[in-house]
Amino acid sequence: MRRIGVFTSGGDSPGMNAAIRAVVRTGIHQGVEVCGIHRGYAGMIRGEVTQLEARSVSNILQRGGTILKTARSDEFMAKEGRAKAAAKLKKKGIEGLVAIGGDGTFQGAVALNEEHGTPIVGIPGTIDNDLYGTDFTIGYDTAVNTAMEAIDKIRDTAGSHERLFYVEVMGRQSGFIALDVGLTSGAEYIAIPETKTDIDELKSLLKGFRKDKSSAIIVVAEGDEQGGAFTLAKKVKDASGYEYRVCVLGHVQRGGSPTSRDRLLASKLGYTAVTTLLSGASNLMVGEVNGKIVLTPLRETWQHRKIIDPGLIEIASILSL
Amino acid sequence: MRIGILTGGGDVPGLNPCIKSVVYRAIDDGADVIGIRRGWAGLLKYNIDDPSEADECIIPLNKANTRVIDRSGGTFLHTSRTNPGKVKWSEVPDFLKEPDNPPKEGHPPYDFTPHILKVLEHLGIDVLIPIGGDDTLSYGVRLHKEGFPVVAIPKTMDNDVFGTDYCIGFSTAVTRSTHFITALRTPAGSHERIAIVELFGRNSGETSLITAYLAGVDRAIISEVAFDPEKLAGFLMQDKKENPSNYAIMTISEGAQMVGGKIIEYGQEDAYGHKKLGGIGEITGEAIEKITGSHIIYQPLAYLMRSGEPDALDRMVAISYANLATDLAVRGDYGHLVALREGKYTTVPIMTMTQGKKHVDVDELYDVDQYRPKIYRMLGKPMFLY
Repeated sequence: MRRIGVFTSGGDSPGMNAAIRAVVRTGIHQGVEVCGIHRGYAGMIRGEVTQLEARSVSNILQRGGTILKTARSDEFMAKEGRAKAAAKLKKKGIEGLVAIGGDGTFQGAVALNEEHGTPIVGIPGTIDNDLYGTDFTIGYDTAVNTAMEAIDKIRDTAGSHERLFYVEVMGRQSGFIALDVGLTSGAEYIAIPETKTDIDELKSLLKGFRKDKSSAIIVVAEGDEQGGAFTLAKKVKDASGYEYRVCVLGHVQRGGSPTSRDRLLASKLGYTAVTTLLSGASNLMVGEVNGKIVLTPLRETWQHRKIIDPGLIEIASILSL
Repeated sequence: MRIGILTGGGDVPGLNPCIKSVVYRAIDDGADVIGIRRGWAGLLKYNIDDPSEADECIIPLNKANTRVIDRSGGTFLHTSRTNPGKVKWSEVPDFLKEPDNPPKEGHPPYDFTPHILKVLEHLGIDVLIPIGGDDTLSYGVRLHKEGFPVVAIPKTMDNDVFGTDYCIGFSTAVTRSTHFITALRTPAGSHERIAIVELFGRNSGETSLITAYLAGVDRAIISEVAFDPEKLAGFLMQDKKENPSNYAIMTISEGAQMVGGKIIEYGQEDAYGHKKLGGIGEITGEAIEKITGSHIIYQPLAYLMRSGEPDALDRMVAISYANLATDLAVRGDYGHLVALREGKYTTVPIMTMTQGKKHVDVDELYDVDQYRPKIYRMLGKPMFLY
């Protein structure tokens, strides 16, 4: 293999740049050329490729977002789109790929590999942490810390007004962010898609809090089965009459400088992705499980559901007494 | 000499350092201080004949119980939007209800000022220091008119109390907004989108204007100047094109309005007749998406702007206002609003607040054609431009 490509796809997450840097510099150290493909699969189809040198990735380690940009591509979902992409890769002499993203990114990667044989190794880059095969995804730690700091501040306001605040955090399919944020910011209740959010239970819980707590914070995953924070708040109000305020943290969770944990993970996984690809392996995701770097078939990362720790849910519930 | 202190309206960073400084200064000057809890509600709900609930309404303050309060945001006295001059029928405390003439739905708001004056006398309070925005302080004006000694301290992250150039909380709101805008640049740039950041500020555009000036965003829509969404969309597409990272970012006041359109309001009015504002950023985002075909990121910063601990400037002003107000109170010099004017600590008559509305000086600070701050004549301006 003489030339490999790296790209980011799907939602951006803090630490993607650290991963790009690790891929580029490891590749150069191993004696291959590394090309950056811009705008994910959309850019691959259009041939938006630039060669990256060691200095091309200077000073990006600490920056959020992705210098390679990211996009969603409908065209790549179709066979014809993938054929175009494969042709462009061939034309540019790119013989292997490092894909940084989430399950959508990896599904595209597997399809490309099966139809055109392009060797691909994936790096988990999403703030949602919902990929099987790694304990943590790149960007998750930063997103949780950003949200936790925001809630620490909101608690001052909730206390001053003696109010019930609903804070919505990201997580369309999973409650990983909500659970960690809720636990670490001392939320009175955490609403996540994995567990049943019962309006009556919430109502009686809040009734209890009103006796001896001056404020309450409920952390809501955007994908909770009762709806987002606004919907849940309204349902509880209709049932109980409790007034509320809502704060949707939204994209601020994606922003900002990655934490040291995310930079460390991105650097380790970026390095391993390149050495794995160059060893001739393909269709694998690099991840970290119990502190060890492991490889998981890409297909398993979305076919197996990563289970939220029921013990942690239990602890969160006990500690919010 | 006994000073009463209270905080009303929305909480802002800086209230706790302000309360602590009043207490420390008053005690050093031989006065004592009673904290009134939950704004004016603490006085309204105080039942002279039944002291069993008094702890919910007042708390005697001393150096020991205020020593560490300045280390956190919010207000440890709690706050409310209650206005004792305009109490809704449903909010009349039980002990104030007249058995033969119970409060009725549809009845105009009730005025409990005589009760408030009685409570103040009962508590032995000689002078009141209310900390609040124009709503909270408007009841301070009322008590002043009734002859009760008042020295008012202005706070609001909107910075719109008439008579002072600066209100506690504004600087932190701008600091916080600037911080989150910087964070939002990476998702906006990575996804190549137009980001619309909606800022609290009621009908004043100062938070949007000054945040835009400091964060260097592409465009700023302020409450004072109605905007044309098509023109705005055209500017943003151009800004995005000229940005090497291919994104654009703008701020918009929650009270902004479109040309020929109406201010977006929903929700019930509070005791001061204000409706809750909101939604203009989302509507503007939808309009821009429709006009340009570019995807957008809509981010209301809302409570994130005014929660948490104060920045250095808000500590400076909060503590200095506290010193000034306590100075006046202890000296028996009443009827003032403490203020900053042209960069100097001063006072204005408390009545000043009611004599006008504070808005952005559009001619001096804003480009109505380009929808962004225009600050050319710097010479002679105070540090914070106001």
